[in-house]
Amino acid sequence: MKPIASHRISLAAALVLPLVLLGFSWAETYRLAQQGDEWLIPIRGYDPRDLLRGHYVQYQYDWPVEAASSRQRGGDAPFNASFASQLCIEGTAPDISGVRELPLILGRSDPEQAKGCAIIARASFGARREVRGLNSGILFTSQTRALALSRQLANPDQRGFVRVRIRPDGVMRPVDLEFRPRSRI
Amino acid sequence: MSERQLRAWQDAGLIDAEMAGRIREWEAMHSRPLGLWAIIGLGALAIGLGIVSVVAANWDEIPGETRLAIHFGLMVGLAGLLWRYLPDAAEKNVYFSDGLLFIVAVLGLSFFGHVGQVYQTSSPLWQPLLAWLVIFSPLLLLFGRGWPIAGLWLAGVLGAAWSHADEYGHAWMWGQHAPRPDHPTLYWGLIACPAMAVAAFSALMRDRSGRPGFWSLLEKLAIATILIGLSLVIIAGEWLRGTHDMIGSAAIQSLALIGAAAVIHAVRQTSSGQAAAGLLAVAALLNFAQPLLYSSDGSIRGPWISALFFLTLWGAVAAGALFARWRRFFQVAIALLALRIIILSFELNDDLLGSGAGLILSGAFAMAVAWVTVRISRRYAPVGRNEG
Repeated sequence: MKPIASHRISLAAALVLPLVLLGFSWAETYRLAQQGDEWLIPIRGYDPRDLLRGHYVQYQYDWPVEAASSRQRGGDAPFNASFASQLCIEGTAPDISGVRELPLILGRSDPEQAKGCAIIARASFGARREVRGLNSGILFTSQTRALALSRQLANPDQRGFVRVRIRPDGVMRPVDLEFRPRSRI
Repeated sequence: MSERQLRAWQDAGLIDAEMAGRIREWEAMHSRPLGLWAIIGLGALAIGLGIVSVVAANWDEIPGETRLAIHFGLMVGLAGLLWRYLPDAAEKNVYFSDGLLFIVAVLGLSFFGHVGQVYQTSSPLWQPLLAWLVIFSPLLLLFGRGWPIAGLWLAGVLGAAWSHADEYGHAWMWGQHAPRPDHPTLYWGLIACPAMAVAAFSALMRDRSGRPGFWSLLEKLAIATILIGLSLVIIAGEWLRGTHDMIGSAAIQSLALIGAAAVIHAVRQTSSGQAAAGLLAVAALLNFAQPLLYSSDGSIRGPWISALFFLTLWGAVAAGALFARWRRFFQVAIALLALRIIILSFELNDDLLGSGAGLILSGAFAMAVAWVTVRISRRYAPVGRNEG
């Protein structure tokens, strides 16, 4: 049997280790959450029946991609956010004036092409499936609010926007959902 | 211990009044009021779930960082409680000390999810699980005593491996953004190995620790996991068609099984240790032989292959249990063997089933198997001993 003193020390160490690291993880998440500017990205909801999974709302980005820029790249294929690895966002925060896809060449983007970008959003690979890529994201919220949001997203008179904070390294983090009346044509 | 039995033994002259009194006294001192503890445990669980629900229902009113602070404060408080009482509590009641550790560990795991919700960050499940394992393993493995902690820790290990594999398992659904393992043969071989590592590690730790019971429990849980996993692979074997080299992956897994068997054989010279090592060696052989057989010749097919492998595996378990006198394991193995033989009889009679003869034969065979099983189980089931 080990002496009591060393037993107590190892118990203290084993108790303090998770507390310190959990606290550090919290502090680091907080620090990263403060970085970057907020942008408003138009979104469209999924089928309302699919919108709510647990206490979060799942949405799809409706990037205002310039038609000219995608045609310029030579493909007739429509822009698909699932396959884009980085997007150049133009405008002044929080209003986006235009978005174009930045092709990756050997894992790096062409500095010529990146000219004029206010910020570059990058697809996150280490995230859960619902937020992988630049196609869709989720916003955690309370149950009652999630129900209200899903109703608003389904309303054709309103356009939904997600307010995201984009860090300088291109990682996006949703802050909230907002709605504006849709201009009638 | 029943009072009636004591009195019967006393009347039969097996024990005298003084000894009966001493037995009663000892039993009273050491009895565990399991029913009482179960009710207290259920009550604590209900209260805990209730608190979580109340917080979850009103979380718009409570700022996220306040919620996180409360969550963190709870963990700090419980850690203080553990620091003060764990050494005494562990001597008195295994379930009490394990219960406290369990609550702290689960609070720690849910903290990852809570931070993610407040700051709207998301990560795949395996990342928080792995981080949790790293930071809580010292506490759980150094101070755990009973099955709640052994089970929780092993569930964490298997859950982390499973959720990591699950990310790649759905690659076909997510286009080019879905990551694929760089070396599929190596990856799919290694991802199945944590259970083998846990079995070997537990065997190593058993005699080096002040809590051999805990490590023995962990080793048994790991071996049971291996047996169940291999059984599922055997059952699914015919449909498993990977894009990678299945034989290579199976070879890696079998090497891990051989390694675990060697470690257990070396450190535990008891009949129980030898039986466990032998079982793992048989498992290694079967795990490698099955994909070899399926890939070598396309014509070798049929229900009997999978049945043969299953019967060999659980036959070995029964033999090992008989050798090491694990009563419970023996009975489970015999029951599974009987079930598989009955299923096989129906599978092989496939074409005859339409005719009554097939049904009658299958029925008679099933009854014969059931009868033999009961006879074997009664006659040869080892008398359980106090394993430890």
